[in-house]
Amino acid sequence: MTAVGLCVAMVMAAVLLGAGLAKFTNLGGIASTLQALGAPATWSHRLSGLVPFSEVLTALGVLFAPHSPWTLVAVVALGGAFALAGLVAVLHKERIRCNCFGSSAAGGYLGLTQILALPAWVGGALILHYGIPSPLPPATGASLLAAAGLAIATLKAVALWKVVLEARGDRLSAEEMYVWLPQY
Amino acid sequence: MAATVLSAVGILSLLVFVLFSVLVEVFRDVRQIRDALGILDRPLTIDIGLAAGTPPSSYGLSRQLDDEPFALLLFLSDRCATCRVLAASLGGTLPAGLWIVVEAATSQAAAEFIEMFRMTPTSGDERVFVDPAGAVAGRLGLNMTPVGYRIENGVFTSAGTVPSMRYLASIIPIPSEVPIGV
Repeated sequence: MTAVGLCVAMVMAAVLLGAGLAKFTNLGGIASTLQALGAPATWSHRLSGLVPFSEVLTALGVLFAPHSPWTLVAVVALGGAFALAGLVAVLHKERIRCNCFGSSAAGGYLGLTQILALPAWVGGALILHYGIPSPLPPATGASLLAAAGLAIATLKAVALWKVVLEARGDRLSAEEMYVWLPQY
Repeated sequence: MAATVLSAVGILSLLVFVLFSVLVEVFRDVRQIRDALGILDRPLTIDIGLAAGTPPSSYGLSRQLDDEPFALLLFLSDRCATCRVLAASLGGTLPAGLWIVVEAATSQAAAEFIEMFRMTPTSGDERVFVDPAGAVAGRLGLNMTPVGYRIENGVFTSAGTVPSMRYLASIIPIPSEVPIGV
C-alpha cells in the first residue's frame, strides 16, 4: 500500500507541479479563464496568480507531507474547484479555454473532463491517506520531488524538440519566400 | 545530505521545466509573427482563365497528361532561386503525380538545369519537359515561377505559386514513398 501511495504521490505531484508552473508562464490566460467563469476583471487578475501558487503548494504538500489532513483537503479542494469550473462551463454551454497546462494546451476547454476527474482526485487523496499514514522521511520526499521534476522536465523537453523542428521548417520556408518575393 | 542533493535535483529540474516552457512560448510567438508577415507557406492563387477545363496537350504538353486522373505540373525556371531549391529538394527522383516543366532561355540552359538537379528523364518515365523560350508558358499566360498547375481527369483545374519545399510536399497529389527533403 505504501508503494502505491508513493506512486500516486509522485504522479499527483508531477501533474500539479507541471500545471502550476506552466500557468505561471501564462497568467493572462488564467485571468481570462476566470473572467469567462464570471469573476470580475480586477479580481480575475489578482486571483490568476493564486491558482498556480495553490497547485505548487499542494504538490509540495503531497511530496513532503502526504499524511497531513491539510494536504488531503487541498487536493480535494483543488479537484473540486476544477470540477466546479467545468460544471459552470457545461451549464452555461460556453467554450471556455482551460489553460490548465498553460498556453501549451491552448486547445483544451473546460467541461466534462474536469468533472470526471474529480473522483480521481478524491480517490488519490484516499490512497494517500491510507497508503501513507505516517510522515515520510525527508529523503523520500526529496526523491519524489526529484523524480517528479525530472519527469515533467523530460516531457517539456520533448515538446520543445517538436517546436524546434517546426521552427526549423518555418525558417527554411521563410528563407525561400524571401528569395521569391522581391521578384514579384 | 542525500535529501539536500535530491531536493536540489528536484528544484533544478523544475527550473529547467519553466525555462523550456518559456522557450516553447517564444518559438510559438515567432511562428505567429512569421504567419502575420505572410512568409509562412503562403501560396498565391493564380487565375488560369481560359485554361481551366482544357487538356494540357492543347498547350504543347505531353498527351500523357491528358490521361492523368490527378497530377501536379510544376513550372520551374533556371533563373529562379526558389525553383532551384525545389529542384534540389526532389533529390533526382520525382514523386508519383509530379510533372516538371523547365523554363529556360535556351535548350542548353534547360539541359544544364536538368543535369544539375539530376532530373534527366529515364526510359518509360518522361515527366520532365523542357520549354525553351517559354513557348508553353506563353500559351498559358504564365509569367512567374515556381507555379504548380493542378490537373484532374486530364484537364487543368487550378494553379498557384509554390513558395517552399514544405508546401510542395503538401500538394503532391498522390502520396509518395520518396521523401522530399524539407
